[in-house]
Amino acid sequence: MIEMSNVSKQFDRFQALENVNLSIQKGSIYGLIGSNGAGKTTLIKLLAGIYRQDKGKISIDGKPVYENTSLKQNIFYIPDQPFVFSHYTTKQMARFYKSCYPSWSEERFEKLAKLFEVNLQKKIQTFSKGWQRQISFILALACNPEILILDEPLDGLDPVVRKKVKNLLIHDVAEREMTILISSHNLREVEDLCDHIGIIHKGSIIIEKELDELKSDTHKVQLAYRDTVPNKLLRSLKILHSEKRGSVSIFIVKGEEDSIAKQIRETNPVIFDILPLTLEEIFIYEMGDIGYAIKSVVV
Amino acid sequence: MPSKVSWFNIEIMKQIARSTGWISIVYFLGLLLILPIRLLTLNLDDWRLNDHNRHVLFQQFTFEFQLAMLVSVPVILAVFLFRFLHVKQSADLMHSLPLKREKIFHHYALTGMVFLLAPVAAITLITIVIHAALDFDQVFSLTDLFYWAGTTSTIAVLLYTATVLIAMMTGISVVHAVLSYIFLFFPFGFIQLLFYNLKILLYGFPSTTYLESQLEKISPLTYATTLNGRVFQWGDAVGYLVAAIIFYVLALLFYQKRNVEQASEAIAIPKLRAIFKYGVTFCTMLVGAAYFNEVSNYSLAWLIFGYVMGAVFGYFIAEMVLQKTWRVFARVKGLAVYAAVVAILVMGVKTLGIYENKVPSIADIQSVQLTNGPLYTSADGVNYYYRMKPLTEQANIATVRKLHQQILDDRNLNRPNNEIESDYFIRYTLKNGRHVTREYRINERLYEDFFKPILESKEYKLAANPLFKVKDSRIKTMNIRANGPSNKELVLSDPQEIKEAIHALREDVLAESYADSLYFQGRGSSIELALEGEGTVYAGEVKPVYLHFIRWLEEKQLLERTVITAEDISHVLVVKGETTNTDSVDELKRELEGKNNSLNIKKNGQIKELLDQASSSSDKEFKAIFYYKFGGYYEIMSFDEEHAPDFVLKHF
Repeated sequence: MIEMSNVSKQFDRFQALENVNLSIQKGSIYGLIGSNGAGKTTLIKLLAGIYRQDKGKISIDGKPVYENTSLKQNIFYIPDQPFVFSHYTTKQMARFYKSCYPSWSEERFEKLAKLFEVNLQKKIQTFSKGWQRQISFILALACNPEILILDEPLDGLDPVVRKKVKNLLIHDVAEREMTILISSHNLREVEDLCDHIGIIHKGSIIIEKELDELKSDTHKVQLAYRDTVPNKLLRSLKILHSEKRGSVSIFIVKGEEDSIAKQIRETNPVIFDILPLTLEEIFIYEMGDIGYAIKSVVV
Repeated sequence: MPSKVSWFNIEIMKQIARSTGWISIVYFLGLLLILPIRLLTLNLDDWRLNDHNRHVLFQQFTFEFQLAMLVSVPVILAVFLFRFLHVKQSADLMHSLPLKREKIFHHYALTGMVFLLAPVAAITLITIVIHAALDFDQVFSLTDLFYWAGTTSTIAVLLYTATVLIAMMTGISVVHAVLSYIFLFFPFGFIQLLFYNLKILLYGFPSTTYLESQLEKISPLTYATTLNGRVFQWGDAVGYLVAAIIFYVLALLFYQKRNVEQASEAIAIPKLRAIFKYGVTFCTMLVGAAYFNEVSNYSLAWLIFGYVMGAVFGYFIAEMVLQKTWRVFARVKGLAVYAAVVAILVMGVKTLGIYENKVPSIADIQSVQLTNGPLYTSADGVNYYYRMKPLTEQANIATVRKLHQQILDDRNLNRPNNEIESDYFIRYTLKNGRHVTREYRINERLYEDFFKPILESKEYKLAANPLFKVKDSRIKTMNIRANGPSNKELVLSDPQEIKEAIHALREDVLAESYADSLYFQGRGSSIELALEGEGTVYAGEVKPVYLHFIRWLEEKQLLERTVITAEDISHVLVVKGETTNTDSVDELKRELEGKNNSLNIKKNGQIKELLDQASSSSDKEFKAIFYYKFGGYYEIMSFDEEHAPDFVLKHF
């Protein structure tokens, strides 16, 4: 269980994070979504024990992360731009990680290297950007971390590799209850991977949700009546958003599907449809005004 | 199952070796060429063992290259070693690993130190082998070799740890290197600058006194430059190693406090930024003032210009470094505050004049020194004899005080430029044990009335003249060497003779008047005393007024062998009147020879009279060219009316 409470971080005069609260359950895949400069990387580096917070608490299983070797032995961080020591080959880098992470598995490393068909004797910096990223995944997974922290991990990967990586991650989560924190500037990129989503905007987490709950909880309804929409219905439904196109009204409604349908049918509409809602629409409607402001992130 | 991760991480060391090992190798190869290979090229027959020194391995083996490597390798090594802190991505990687900072630091700093010292150790071993195999005993001993290795290592370690400390303060490798050299040079450079400026600002500030006191020791860079001429002392070595340990511990503490995000910031610790900014401003202000004061020949307007320019320059440079852009000219608030503070301070000190106007009251003074010689140089060896002892007689103390007061009163007087001025120290020891020291550049002639009673007093002569401080029994030989082309030199070594000569000489010095001492200075045969195991002390010169000493020489029939006499001179040309030429002696001679109404003296008796009355300066009324009998050599002296012999006065 990863927890951040009232965490603030300032760079000189720039407030990067302000009063951030966040909690990630063990075994979950948490997607951290935000535009450039929202504070994703700062938050991630705080969790990885690289930065030290100015205020608040960051703990994993109740213990602070910063300078905590035994905790950090179970955390692996992959930065947005993979970095290795210059002139190091994958093999040398593997040996280096092996010396730092007691949970390193040689067997797993060899298996993964074979799976991705990596030349272990080649200097990592001579690989393309996509390959370098795959190698960092191999090294990370060979360390068998309990927590994997990924900053924009899928950038620069082709769809096939992307799929491969996603499968591997899901496999480890299912197998070992690994926890993953994954950041992205695009919700769509990670929606099929994550079970929890947090959206960060201007240094604050503005919404944190479990995806399944969200999807079953929000609905888009199309309605048309002979005259106007009954006031009674408007009052009884929890409407997030409404608009009118001709005689058809569109509502975004929160609540259980069956109960919503039942209430609507009672008012005898001429047209009644419950439509599927994309994740991005849900977020935009959930967040109200801010949702429109950061629409680019969510899409 | 988790394997045991030991404290000792060989992979980190391998990484350090891969990234910085080349520096170690280059250092090794450099030293290999300078020492062992150079030794092999030596032709032992050509090697003359005249003055064997402990520092022979620095002195005789291309010291310039050794020095260049000694001051650059430790800094370069530390800069490359801690580059991982200054590159954002590598800083992130290193600090995301499950390694405590303490562990990272010790691994890097200590592995680096091994890489720094390994070449020195290897070269030492190789040299020991060569020394044993080829018998280099007449060139150097093994102790010399260990002295070389120890000194090189100590200075290298200090430079290295200092650079490691600076690594924690900055986030840019180039700034790291530059700041490290500034830091290492700072103690020396800053004190020089500060004293120079205090001297400009405070009339009488004894800057040369402080600067005499072996200042180069406080900076390892300046100390390193003197290793070919001086032995590194144990005390200094201990001091350097203690400083190295302090730097190491401080570096660790700063590292633990340092935030990783400061990579690529010029100054990584925010609180240090203000110190950096105003420190740079202050130093460049001092540099500006010193520079413009020198080049403008002490003009006040240019001095103020120097202060302002220096401060403005330094302030904006520091801002540029901190902001990492050159467009910083709008940020002038800090500069304004700085200027106001400095202006108030300077005005305050100048108007109150506490320092400049202070002359201790006579009741407080225990003793006083008045000297244009050294005050603070170490008292070892012959320096002891040159250092003036304090004066305690009330009359002398009172006169020195009056002289001091007069110098202060004359502060704003216009001084003639063409007369020689010299630096005089006045140092009071007060009854409460404190000292008041002042230094003034004065024209001695203007203060004759004060100098005369002091310099003529027996107490002063005993306190200032080495002649009275040397014990007779310590004198090995007494050497008297004449000026001019005659090669006249006498070495007295009989103790009894030395005793008599010294006795006569002391009597003469005690009787000598202030006027005579000035008039006859710089022309007679010089007298040196070689002391048992201490070196040689200069004990003055033979002046025509030293009647006892000259009589003694005559009695011993040594006069002819020690001083220039009429026998050595073929003739003398005496000329009266002003001359225009003072630059070149040859031209002066030509000008004098061309004058009308000159007097040519050839008689021995008259030549002797002239020799006894002439002053070595050429600015007195009557000029005299003394033509030697041999080698076409001549000397121009002069005498005033008072000293002019009758036959000269009669002629003119």
